[in-house]
Amino acid sequence: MPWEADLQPGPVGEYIEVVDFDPASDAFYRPVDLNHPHLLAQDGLAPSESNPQFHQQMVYAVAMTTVRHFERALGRVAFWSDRKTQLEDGTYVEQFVRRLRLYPHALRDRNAYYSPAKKAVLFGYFPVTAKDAHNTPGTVVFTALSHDIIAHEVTHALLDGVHPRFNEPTNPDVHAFHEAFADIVALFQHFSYPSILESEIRKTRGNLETENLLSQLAQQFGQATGRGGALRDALGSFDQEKGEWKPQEPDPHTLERTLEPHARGAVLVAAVFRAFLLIYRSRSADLFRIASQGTGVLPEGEIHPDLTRRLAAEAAKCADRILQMCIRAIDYCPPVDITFGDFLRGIVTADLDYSPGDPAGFRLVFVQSFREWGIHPRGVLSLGLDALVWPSGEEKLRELEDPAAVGRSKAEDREDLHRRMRQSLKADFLLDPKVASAKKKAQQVSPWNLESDRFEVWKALDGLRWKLWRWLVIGNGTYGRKYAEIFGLVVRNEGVPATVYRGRNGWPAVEIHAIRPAIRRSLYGSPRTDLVIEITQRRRGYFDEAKQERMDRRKAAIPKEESGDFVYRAGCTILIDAATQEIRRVIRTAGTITDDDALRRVRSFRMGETGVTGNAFDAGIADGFKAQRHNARDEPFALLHQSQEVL
Amino acid sequence: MSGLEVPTKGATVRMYRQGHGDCFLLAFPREGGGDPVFVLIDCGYKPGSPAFVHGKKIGDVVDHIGQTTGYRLDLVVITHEHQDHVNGFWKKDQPYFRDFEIQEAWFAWTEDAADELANDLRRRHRDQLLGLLEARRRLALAVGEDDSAVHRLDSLLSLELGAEEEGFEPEAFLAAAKDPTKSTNKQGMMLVKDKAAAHRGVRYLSPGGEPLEIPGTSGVRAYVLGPPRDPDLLSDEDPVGKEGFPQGDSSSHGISFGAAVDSVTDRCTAPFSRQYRLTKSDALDPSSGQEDEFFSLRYGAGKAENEEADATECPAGPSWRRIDEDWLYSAENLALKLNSGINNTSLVLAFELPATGKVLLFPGDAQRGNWISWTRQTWMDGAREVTAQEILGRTVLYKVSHHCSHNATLAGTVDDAYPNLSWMARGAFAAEFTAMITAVEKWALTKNDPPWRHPLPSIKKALETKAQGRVLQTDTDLPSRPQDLSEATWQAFLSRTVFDDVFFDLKILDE
Repeated sequence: MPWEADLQPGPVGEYIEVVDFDPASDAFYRPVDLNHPHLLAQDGLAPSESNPQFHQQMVYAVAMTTVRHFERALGRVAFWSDRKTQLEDGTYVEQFVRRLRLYPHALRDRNAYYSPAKKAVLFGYFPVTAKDAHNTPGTVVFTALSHDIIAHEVTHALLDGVHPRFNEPTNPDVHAFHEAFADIVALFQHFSYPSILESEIRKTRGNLETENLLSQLAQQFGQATGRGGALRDALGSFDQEKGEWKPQEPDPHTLERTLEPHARGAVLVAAVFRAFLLIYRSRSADLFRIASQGTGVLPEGEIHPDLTRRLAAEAAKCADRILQMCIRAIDYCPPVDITFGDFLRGIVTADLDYSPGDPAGFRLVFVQSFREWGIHPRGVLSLGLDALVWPSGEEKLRELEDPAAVGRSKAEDREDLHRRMRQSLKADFLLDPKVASAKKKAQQVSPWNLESDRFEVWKALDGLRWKLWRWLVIGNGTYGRKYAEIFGLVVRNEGVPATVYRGRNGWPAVEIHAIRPAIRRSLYGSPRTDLVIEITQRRRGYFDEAKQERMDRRKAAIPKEESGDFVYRAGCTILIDAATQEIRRVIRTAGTITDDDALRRVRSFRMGETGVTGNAFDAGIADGFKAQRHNARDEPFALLHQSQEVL
Repeated sequence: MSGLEVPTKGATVRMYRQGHGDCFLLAFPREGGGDPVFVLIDCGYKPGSPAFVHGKKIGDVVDHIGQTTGYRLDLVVITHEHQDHVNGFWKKDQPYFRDFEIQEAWFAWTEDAADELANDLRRRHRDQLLGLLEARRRLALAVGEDDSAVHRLDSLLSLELGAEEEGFEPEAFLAAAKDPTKSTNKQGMMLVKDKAAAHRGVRYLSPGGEPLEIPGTSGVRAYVLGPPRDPDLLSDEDPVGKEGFPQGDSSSHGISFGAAVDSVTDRCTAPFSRQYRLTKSDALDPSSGQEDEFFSLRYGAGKAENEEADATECPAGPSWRRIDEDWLYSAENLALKLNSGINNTSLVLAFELPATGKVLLFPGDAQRGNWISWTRQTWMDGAREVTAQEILGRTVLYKVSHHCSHNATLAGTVDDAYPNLSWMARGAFAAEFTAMITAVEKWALTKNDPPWRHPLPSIKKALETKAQGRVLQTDTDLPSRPQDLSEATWQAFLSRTVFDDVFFDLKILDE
């Protein structure tokens, strides 16, 4: 991978800064200068465990590869999550964080984690203690030298940059999804290294359904911690007692009894990997037939190097497509309370929007594989593609209408309403009336491609949030509010419980989290830019149901400081085509902010009634008991990782 | 003798309500008549928790045991070395059990000073405790005594070392960890051993083999289910290979977590050679001539000047991105692992009544590693082989492991290959299955940070379903009848119970 043009010592680049402080050893390690003529000439430092500067180079290079995969799939520049600080007057401000910080030697632990509070990844190192064929006690394992661990942690950070609320566990899938997604990116990145890919194709004679390194994560870490094999494996597992690897069949009931986030996430990873295998199998069948006189059964012995190369190319192409589908899907997820089923709907919808034709049947294969693993979206009656695709604004608009009223009103009236709503969307939100010049108008929602300066984009998007909020809540006429209804937002006070947070104007608060562009292709292949908008609302939840009712019915406003026992959030993700003012997709959470059943479900999860993920004391649901912990130990991923003692 | 009624055939189990911890008195009819045979299993509590039950002091509860038994115990079983199981025995100057006569005492093999593996485990435990205490000291220096991370560590450490009062006494704990005989936990266990040694003596038990006769009874026996003799299973989720921890002379020893917190021997070394290293003062002071401004700009010292909260772009080296103490938080994870390791050394006994074969299961605080070991052995009843599946199937009383916490009662189905709740109380034994939870929920939730989920709602719910409402918990009154259960069935259960301020009694008939 080429270095960035003006890479500074560290390395410090546009996205990443490596700061090598080792607090346990009380030592700083000098930063590597990859732009130094000596290093430039030899493409960087040669691999060396004993040179910390090679570690710095390694974490930088893998992190950048991961960032690039993201940007390519999403068609826009990547952002880390904002730093939120509270000012003295109690208001919050958000700071743009240009670089993710990597600390290659931060911990003496069998662990590495992404810290959302520090916008940093902390890598650990530890002495090997297990004694077996793969390990020599006395050597040191550096997590900063593992491609999979680096890619996994950086993916946590990238996902956090898109969905800062995916840290809040409200159902068993939320944390599991974070882990699974990080694993998926790390796994499919294996296929972008041709030498590894070809060697595995050779070893497995092209059959990637047998044990191979491509499906395995963190080999060295797994062996150094006495697992006998890789830390995680999407295809099978190592049987410690028999001392052999065995494949794993899809089981639709695994999810029902698996709650620990890594184990649960492994089901999603297995489902995605299976989709890959099914596609690879069908797309390579012709190559196997050609190489076997039409029988499809290869003769004994090594396969021909040409066949290896062709199969590798096919595998790389499938893997890349799968990875891109998965990354693109994160724009098509609800802003909070994600489930694996939501992710499947996101994959299908994003892919349909990005490439309307699907001759190879990638989407169908995903649905098949997810079904075999028992992943089923809630509230969807069939697993047909039509039912899985997230609805458009038009569909939601039709749902909104009172059937009795439809019978009476004329079709033209409805058409008229829709037309006026679209006009309002265009005039009052997309084009700020305060911006007079037509040229500026044209620029407002378009300039975010991969060449943009990230801080400029960030500032422009930040301005859009305010405009959208004004349009939806204050409203110019009633059309903004009409849209709010489609989006499942509650913007007026009638019948709204007192526990729902109110804004300064006394109405239910609407928080616009992020606006970002997403590219897709029209049916004719031309690229289009949509705006992705995430909106949420907040409500105080109480563990005691009687107290909840009491607070819900309170007449006087609840003071801002009262934060309840936990936060319940609801909201939506919307995709708007800026050019046609069409609401392309409306992706709502399972309930609105006034939905008592959805609140009850979150409560019972937080109370540990639906299962637990933690240790023998706090059962992993501690964060639910205190809304805000102003504590240095506010590291959701460290806790998660440590309870399993793995990444 | 104060009102402990023992059926002529069967047993009475008295669950004391001394606080968040275990204390059980079992009474069996004595062979040939006379006073019942008394077996005491554990006596301990978390300081502070009794206030949430009845407020009686542990001394009063011990007196109550004394009056019930005439200060004479046929057998004392100590399941494992944790504060909430043993701190009721001992007290400085005036041990609570001073006036008791103890005929015999049973411990797990892990307490046997003649057992090599046990000695290894104890040495390792002691080293880790010392490391943790050092880490705790440094963490408190860095983030302050009032930080909740320090509190969390303290509550775990006091379980290991024991304490009579609430709060953390760093000096006493450090002394206790260096010389294990000084800990409150060890002193209590020593008292029991000394008293038993004056009579029939102490036995250290390993799983498997023949069931043990309960001395004095006519044929009541106990199967030893755990702890397993497999260090991997004891440490549970820590799949350390055959050899375990590195030896002192290992070259990598200096770069472990333990080495870094050890300020005494100063054996800590950096993982890289000197040519790459900069000391903190050199790195952060550009005038040292060692390095340009790289680290002072990005890592800084003190609060960076450019750190204005309302700037829209995050500055180069803000203090909130520093990681000086983060590595010390690993200590909490180590403490948790240490804790479940000791829980897994719990002596697990299944008492079997002679006529009906009913089983009273007392697993101490056994967690997953201990549970799954039960299927790895069988027991011999004369020439007949007895399996864990059979023993659990005949269970009519289950002392819920580890305060009904996550990972201490396994969920599963009858067909699963590992022992779980569904294996218990099969067939006719289901009709009287009862569970006892030793937890003071309000204390656990409000006096710990993060709150302890003892009992865990999902496990308690499963127990209530399985036992048709017959679940007793330290801090609650007798349960009420589930709606779908007939009054007659419920009365049959109530007629076997006695409810008092300081205890529950449950009679189990053996006919």
